[in-house]
Amino acid sequence: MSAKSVLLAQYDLHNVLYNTVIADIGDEESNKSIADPMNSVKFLAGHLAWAQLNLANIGGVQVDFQWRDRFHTKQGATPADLSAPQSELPTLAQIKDKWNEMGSMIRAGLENLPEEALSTEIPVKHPIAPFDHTLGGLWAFINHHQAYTIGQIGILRRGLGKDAMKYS
Amino acid sequence: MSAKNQLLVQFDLHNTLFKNVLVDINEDESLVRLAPGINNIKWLAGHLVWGQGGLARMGGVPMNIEWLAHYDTQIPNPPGPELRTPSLDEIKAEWTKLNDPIRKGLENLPDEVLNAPIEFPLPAFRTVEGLWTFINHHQAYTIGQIGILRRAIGKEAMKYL
Repeated sequence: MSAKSVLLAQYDLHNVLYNTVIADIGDEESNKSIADPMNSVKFLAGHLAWAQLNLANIGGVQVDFQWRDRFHTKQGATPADLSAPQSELPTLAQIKDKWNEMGSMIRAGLENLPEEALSTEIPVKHPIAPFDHTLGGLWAFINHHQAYTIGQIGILRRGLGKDAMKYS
Repeated sequence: MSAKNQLLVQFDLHNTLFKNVLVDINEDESLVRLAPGINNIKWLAGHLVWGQGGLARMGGVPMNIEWLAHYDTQIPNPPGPELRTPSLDEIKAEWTKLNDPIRKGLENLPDEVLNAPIEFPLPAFRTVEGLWTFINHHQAYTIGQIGILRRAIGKEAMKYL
């Protein structure tokens, strides 16, 4: 497999798991923090969708995400996030629909990236070792971040009394 | 960057994060079960060492850990109290001991080995390299679980550096 195929395989897996990890969770349940200061399922689901914007940028795809102000983190916020207009808190179903709406466009953008584009230097240095400052390095980190965050929802769903997340 | 180097970078990140996510957690805290159905931190740490086992086999590194079956989700009948359970420190020590040999083994894998077919439930991952791709996901997923549990026992958020 090429580097791009490896990264796309992880992207596709996370696309499946995003949907399975929030399956059967109602909107009210998604707002609960099962213990302070743990994030709620809704925040994490929104944060995952927000992180997809990085992949949209890597793939050169324009997507519309109206809840930037709600789901960024201080460390990862861009100027666009910080100046985003205040939005109303969406439902979990709205966030999920947005993920799925963006998913196919982002995938097409990533799939069309030439392999050599992954070696392109990114304008802002990657703050986390051992990633280099390339588009491929950024994509590999975002894939890690998405798995990490899906895992967190995987724990929270058990705390809400749901079955373990399914892998397919 | 080659696929192998991309996977090695994620492997290296998880080595740092395994240590960082367990910082400042003692044995008693690692046994706290937040709610029924939620694994405790020690189990997840042991499960991460078990996850490294797939990479050890791939890299040709022998892994003889007497207590590993406690953290193996693929066996139908997990062991009971007849098999000794390690301390969190022992789990951390095994991870640390294995990291460099596994990394060396993975680094030396030739392309023909990486492309060899294997059996795996998810079709997208049915080569040696595909399995490595999946294990990197699994390790990040499990580190994330400890990352959120450590917050519930009053610890700072995991550091990435």
